[in-house]
Amino acid sequence: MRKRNSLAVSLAVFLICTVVAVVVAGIAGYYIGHDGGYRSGYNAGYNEGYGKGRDEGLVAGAQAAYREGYNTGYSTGYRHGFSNGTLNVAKALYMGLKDRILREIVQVSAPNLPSKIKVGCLMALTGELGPMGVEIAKGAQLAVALVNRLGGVAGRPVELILEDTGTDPSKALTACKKLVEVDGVKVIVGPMASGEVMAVGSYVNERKVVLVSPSATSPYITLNFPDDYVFRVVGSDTAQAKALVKLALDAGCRKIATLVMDNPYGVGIEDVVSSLIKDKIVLKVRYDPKKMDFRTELTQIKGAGVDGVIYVGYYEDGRVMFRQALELGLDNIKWFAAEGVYGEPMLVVPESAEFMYRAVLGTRPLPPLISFYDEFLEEYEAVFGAKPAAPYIEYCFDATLMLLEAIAKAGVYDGAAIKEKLMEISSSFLGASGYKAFDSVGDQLMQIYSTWKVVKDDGKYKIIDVGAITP
Amino acid sequence: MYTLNLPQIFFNSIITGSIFMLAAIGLSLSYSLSRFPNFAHAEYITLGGYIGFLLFEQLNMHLYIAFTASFLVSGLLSLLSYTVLFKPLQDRGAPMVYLMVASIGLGITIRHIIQQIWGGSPLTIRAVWPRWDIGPLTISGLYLYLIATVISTSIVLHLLLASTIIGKCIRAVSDNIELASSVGVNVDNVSRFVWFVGGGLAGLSGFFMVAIANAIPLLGWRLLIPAFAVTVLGGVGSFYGALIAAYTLGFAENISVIGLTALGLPTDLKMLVFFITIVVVLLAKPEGIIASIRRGLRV
Repeated sequence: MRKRNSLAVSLAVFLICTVVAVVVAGIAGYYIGHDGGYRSGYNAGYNEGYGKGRDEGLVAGAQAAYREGYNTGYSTGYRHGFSNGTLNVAKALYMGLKDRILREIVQVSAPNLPSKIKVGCLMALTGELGPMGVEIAKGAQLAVALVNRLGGVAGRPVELILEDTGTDPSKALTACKKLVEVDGVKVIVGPMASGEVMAVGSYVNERKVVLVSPSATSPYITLNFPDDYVFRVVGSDTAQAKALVKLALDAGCRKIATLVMDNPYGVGIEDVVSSLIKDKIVLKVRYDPKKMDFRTELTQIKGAGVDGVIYVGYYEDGRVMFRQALELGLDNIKWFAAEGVYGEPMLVVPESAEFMYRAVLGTRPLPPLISFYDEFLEEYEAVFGAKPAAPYIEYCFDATLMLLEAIAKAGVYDGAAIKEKLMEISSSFLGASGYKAFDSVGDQLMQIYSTWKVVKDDGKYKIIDVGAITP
Repeated sequence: MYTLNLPQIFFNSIITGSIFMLAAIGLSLSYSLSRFPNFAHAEYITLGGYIGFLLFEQLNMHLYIAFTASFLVSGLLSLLSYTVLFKPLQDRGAPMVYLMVASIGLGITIRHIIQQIWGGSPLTIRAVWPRWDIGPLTISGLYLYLIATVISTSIVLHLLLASTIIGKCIRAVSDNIELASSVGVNVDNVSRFVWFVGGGLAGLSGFFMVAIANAIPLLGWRLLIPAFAVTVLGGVGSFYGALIAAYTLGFAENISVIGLTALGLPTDLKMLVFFITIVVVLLAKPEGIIASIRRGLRV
């Protein structure tokens, strides 16, 4: 019995000991394990947190530094740019046009220039723009004649080689190739239409020939040929599209339709407008300007329930468009028109004038505040015996003078060198069409638009400027 | 996103179709009688437009006088070109291609004379037409004149062709010229009559185009392509075919504008839609619409 008892006791003791040992070991294990887990967890978390914190800290720090640097740089740059710009214009003004030609083009020492300076000129002398092109070419002829009279480029006579583009992009390219390959020109004034500039752009880039268009306004020229040999002395329609959008938004329009002629001018503006206010454009219509019957296009706009229309057209189609818009009662919505329909010819048709009076607000490039137009006009009348008979003649004159000055400054008849100097001289060039500084992609830096509308005075219609927009 | 103003689109199509019809009738009838496509037809349209502009806008005459003069002057020009140029050529046995080339040459000559007189830039009639709003529909007085002209022209031509001697003669010559002349139809007189009336109607279409839009030297040339399309689609020489074809194409053109805009495409392409319609119809019915509807009765 005792022996059995002692066996039972020792068994019990053993069991208790085992339980205690297991519990103790468990507790100890728990703590030890916990500690280890904690440590490794801690380490992992620490590492990750540290890494992330460091990265974000670096970014935030960099951003703060960037912001500060940007602000300081901007204000300093702005100050410098402003005073420099003022100085440039003041200098240009002070010199006067002929004095500038004498000092910067004629009385320059450039021993490496060829004995004759060739300037190519691509103009639409026939075709749709023919009547206008013949006049615009006179701008280049006048500039060349003036420089030659004053002594030529660094003493060398200038020869203008004029080629017809026939208002046709493919003919423009053929004419351009002739100028470059047969005549060996390195600078070209023209062509006039955006479509023509688009056609010759890649070719002149490849051959390093500097091209300055007096009148092509399509945004596509900047998009397709940024930072290259294609320049223009007239504002890009990107800015005009922005001005139109601003007008429409200021007028409180929420649903807008675009109605544009189907060419680079119209579609270029449409593209910029719809990229700016995609969510507000309800309907986009591109029409054929030759068709002369737009009732269904206008019916579409009427049905779209818009409160504003952004319109791009020319006189011929514009008069029919506005007359038919009045017919269809579209004068109860607001119309915003680009400069293609600015001018007296629009007011010849009473219905078109009445529609513009009721519904249209427009934009157009503001005439330059300061320029040498008077000096240009005097020269022009002395040479041609009449007043300039088309727009853009003074632009063509400026384009030619700028190229000649760039050649004189470059000292060599080489496209790359002339291009570089052209950018440089533009910042102080004040011509017959105003201040001509280029931005970094060869477009005009200064672009201010005025807003216009038609008013009725004693039963007669008149177009007046009502404001200005800097896009 | 937007609602279609169907009544207005329907109305616009009627207007387009009416212009096509006036422009095409003469082309179709003279084609069937004299058996060559007359490209100078475009210039009858243009001249009618400029005559209307001259009398109505420049000389401030009454609309009806300008309207009648457009018809008469274009009709006389058409008659003259037939008697002085095409008829003598035909009498000398000129084949179709020669006549066609002669008509192109005549057309260019007339177009340049018009351009010398009035200049190349667009001219516009300044008149202000009355306007009415009927529900969703906006109608201008000018379009009522156009519709009235087309309806009365259609009735007169129908009566002429169906129940007068000259109408029977026209149909006879159009069907078989040798047979007709052998039974005593004076082919010459019938042809002169048809050329005069066809040219006059073309002149009216020009008059309305100028009133709707602008007068430009290429006015008729731009209408000539739809006019040929109407002629081909309706069946050469078929008045009723031309009537149906003109309105079919009028609708096709206006509806395609809606479709193209909805697809975000430029509306210049409406001409394409227009020609696809013709190709499809001609593949199915090569003899033109009316011949398949009323085979046997060719008018």
